[in-house]
Amino acid sequence: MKIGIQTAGVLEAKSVETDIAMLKKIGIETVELELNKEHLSKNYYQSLKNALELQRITISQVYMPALPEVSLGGEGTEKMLHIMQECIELCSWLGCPYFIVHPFSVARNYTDRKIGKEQEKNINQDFFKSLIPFAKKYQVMICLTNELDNVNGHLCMGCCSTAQEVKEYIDTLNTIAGEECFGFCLHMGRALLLSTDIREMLLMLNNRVKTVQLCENDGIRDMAMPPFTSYTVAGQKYWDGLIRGLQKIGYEGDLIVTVRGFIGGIPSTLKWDTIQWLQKILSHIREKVDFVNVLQSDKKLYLFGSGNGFDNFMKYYGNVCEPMAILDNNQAKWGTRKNGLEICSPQILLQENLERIQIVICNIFFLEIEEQLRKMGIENICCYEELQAF
Amino acid sequence: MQSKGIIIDTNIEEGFQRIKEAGFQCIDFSLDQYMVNSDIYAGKNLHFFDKSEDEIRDYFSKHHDYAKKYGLYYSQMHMPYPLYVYGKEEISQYMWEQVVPKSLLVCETLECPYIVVHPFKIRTQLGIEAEKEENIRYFKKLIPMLRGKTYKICFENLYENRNGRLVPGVCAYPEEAIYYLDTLNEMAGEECFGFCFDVGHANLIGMDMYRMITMLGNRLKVLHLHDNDGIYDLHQIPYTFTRERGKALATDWEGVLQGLRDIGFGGTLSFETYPGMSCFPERIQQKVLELIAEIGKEMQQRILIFPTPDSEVTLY
Repeated sequence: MKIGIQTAGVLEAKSVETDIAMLKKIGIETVELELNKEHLSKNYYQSLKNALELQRITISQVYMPALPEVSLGGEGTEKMLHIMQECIELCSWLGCPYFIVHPFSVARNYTDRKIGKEQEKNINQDFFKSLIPFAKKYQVMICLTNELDNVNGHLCMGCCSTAQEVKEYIDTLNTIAGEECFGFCLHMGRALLLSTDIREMLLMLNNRVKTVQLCENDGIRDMAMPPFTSYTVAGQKYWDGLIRGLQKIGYEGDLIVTVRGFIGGIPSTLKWDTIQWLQKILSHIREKVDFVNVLQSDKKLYLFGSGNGFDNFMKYYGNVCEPMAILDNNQAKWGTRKNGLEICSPQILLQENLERIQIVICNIFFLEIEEQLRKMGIENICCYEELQAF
Repeated sequence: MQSKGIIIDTNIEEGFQRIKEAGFQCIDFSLDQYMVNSDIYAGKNLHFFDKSEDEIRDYFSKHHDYAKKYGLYYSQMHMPYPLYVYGKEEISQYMWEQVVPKSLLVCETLECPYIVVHPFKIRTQLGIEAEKEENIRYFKKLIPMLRGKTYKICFENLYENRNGRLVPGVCAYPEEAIYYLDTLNEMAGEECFGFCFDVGHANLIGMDMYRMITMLGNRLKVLHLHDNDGIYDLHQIPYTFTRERGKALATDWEGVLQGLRDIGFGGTLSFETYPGMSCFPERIQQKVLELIAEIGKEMQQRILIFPTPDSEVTLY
């Protein structure tokens, strides 16, 4: 699982090599390339491709923004198809497996809503069916993303905003294709605008989820802010839902933060510090998503802390791991048991092969405890933050 | 029209007169005013529902008689809510043992066909699956009180408050509502449960109105029509919200009306707009009621423009 950022607003044409070198230095491992319909030639992207290859940064996904200026029907549809076909070819040339596209939310364009719904389904199915030969030829998976419908400024459910509809679209198209040519890209920001239960959505869609675009907003406008920055997004619950959902489905894609507008507003002298901060946020999310793998590794697992953090850990992860014991600095608790585990002094770790143990700190004083453990020569440490139910 | 703030027991006849004169034909009786939600959440019991069955019948007989006098009828009513408060067993017990059965008795006394209830909201504490199990477990117990009766219980789509942000709650999505209703009706062996579609609550979560209404189909029995800014549950008058000055509506009323048309909805267009009325000076509140009635007539026309062959024309 790689962590990355969108290229739009980050890479500048006049300094693409140095910008990509900076991304590498900061710890960015992959990018989402946003295409511009005016520039779909390989020449245009050659220097970018070379620079990314030099720095061993992959292109996780290619994204074509919605094209509201291209009207569907007749010539418009032909034009749109041609653009998409060029994008798919370009995607393949760039060595990228996923091409993200917006399905069309057109139901409300029709006076009769019933006809509108039917037409929306037909238009999407016909359009994306036309791309199947190109997807197969160039070995690129087309990922539909969840859409919003703009009801005169009020952002509401659009095409593929519910898991049921996503399933229907993708399964139908893949059946027509006879193979898996279509997947789903979860746009976190648009899902948050509808207060979607992210975890439930991920569980329902399972391995149809190929890519994610991570950002958040104020619940009213599609603002593309960094994760964890909006106080109105019910605290961390939605991000916990994303993490738990990705864990549960065994997500194998990358984590891409898409915050173009946010980056664009930052003074240029602070740009790289900001991207470094975004890299740390993504690393944090990756660590959380990978957490189950850490718990189920072949190392002996010890939990540090026997209080609320431990209780929360056992509630969400007690059934996926087998801790050896609970460690606690409170001597009064040594020798007692909780959840069938003995509470011990941290000193028992000195009897172990320190390279073969994994510690999970379930305590709010994780910085002090981490320091304590590192002084003992222990390296395999991770901190558990309490998940919130949703 | 919702009776809250209009039919007041200390001067009961005036309320019926006002509703009639404004141009309405039906009443959504706010039984939840006899045990308000803030009291229930606080565990506070004013013991109205301690009355015996005869006392309850007697108390609401004048509500029944005045409605008849003014040619009005009760299209629906609202049970007090919540029915369960997590961690407050005493008040929850009172709700189950006294309020629910006596509310059904009021429904019968008023000859009202539908009583709207709020299913349990406990997903924050226990998770969605546990919430479903508890709701099914509890409402299944009410089936003997509903079989063969002239009234049905209608679940309403709800929301929850997460750090000030209103997010989907129980029955907010059509799939979940359908699960509840079909499961319980199958257990009952007859249709004892229906649905109340609250447009305002749906608007708060950006719901596709047309989709939800058409998925519910004939499970949809009653409505709560009101409007908001998509952020807070304001219960304002329909057609009054835009997002920008001079721009079109930010609530998809067209989707609502077309959905009702396409499912052949023959029920009542019922407005839950007490805050929308009460924010006006008292002297002109009656005019506000008249405006809401006119809005209802306009909506009725919009639904009837292309009636489906089997739909009954029912005036609101």
